[in-house]
Amino acid sequence: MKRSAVLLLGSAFGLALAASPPLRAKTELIYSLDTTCTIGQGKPQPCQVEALEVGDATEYRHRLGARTISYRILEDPYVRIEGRRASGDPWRSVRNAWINFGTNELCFNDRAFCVVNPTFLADVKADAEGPAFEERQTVGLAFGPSGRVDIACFDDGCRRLLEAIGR
Amino acid sequence: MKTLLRISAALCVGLSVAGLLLPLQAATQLQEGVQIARGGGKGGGGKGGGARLGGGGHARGSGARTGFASFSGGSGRSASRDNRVEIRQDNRTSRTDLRQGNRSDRVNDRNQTRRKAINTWDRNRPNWVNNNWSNNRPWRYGWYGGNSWNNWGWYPARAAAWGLGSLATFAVIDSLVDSAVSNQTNYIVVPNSDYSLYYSSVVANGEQVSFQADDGSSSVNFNADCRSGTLNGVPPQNADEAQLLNAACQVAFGQ
Repeated sequence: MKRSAVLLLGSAFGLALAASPPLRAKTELIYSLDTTCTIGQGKPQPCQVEALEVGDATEYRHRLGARTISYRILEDPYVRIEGRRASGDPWRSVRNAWINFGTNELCFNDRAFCVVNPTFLADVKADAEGPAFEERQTVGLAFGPSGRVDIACFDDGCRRLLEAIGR
Repeated sequence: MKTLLRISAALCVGLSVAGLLLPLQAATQLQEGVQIARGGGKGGGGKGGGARLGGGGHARGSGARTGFASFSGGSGRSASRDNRVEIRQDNRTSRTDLRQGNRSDRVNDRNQTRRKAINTWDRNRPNWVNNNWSNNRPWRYGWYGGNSWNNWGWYPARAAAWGLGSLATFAVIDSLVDSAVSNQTNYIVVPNSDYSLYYSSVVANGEQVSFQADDGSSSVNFNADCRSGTLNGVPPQNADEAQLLNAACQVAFGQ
């Protein structure tokens, strides 16, 4: 009886080890920013953004008081943007992401969350390596259920797209 | 179990808000509060001290992924991973340089600060330290007079090696102490030296003199033999020490 209990414990421990997440990915702070975030229809509120390199992803943590709302960008094997509402929550693909260059805003999930992050926008332009985003006001990305980009739209194209889908 | 289901259902609903895109107007409208806050967004960006600064001023970007660049709608290809790594490495190097710069600045500041000895005029001033200090020295007499450093055995060779022309005369030290007394300062900066001498700490006994000096970071007690020209029992090891020894002997016995 005792031996079987030990065996049981041992195998449980082994299973726990096997199921434990991989070693914590290397994290490096890329920049931090004191700015404002908006949740839903609420008013903009102070928040601190931390952009971190976490393994193969860039993670943006938005601290609003005691809450931390995070998004991460992965590029392999294809571009994905995932979010979570609290530190312990699972990552879920966002449905859409918007940039408004006029207001330095970045929004996710139909403006469920917006952040004023000029550094992010500057990075978008710097990353494009060319004038691709010059003179743009709006850029939208819509993600499919798999988390892959289904639609990318720009300026008037976004408006036309919204018209086309009757919204 | 039910609670778990409810939580995950709530998360699903929350994160995958129904609908694809909101009307453009809603997506692009600038809320008043956000506009006000924009300045703050840039201003508070840096953590300082060499942390990577936010604010978007860097023409090459911060190296962070955005996800958008691949869909630029133009011919520009998004920055490759190599480029990003390079940018990050550059940023890292810049930060290291900046930190090193800050560190050097701090060391320089500290050096400048610590050059100044601490004034404790009201607490530690002995009676003889006044306008007529050289006549009021309690030991009254000493062997030292004139430029006796010329007689110190080590002087000619070492002074030549250090490129030391001469040591401060009594006239110079006298003038410095007079000035310090009238300014109610209990130290003089020893000429051509990193030391500050707490002249009021000088106590003579025969040819032996004890005193305190500030070596640039703290107060140090010294014993000098003004006849043989030694500091703590040995000849001065550098020009700074020679100047300090001479200044202390001048305060003790100069005339």
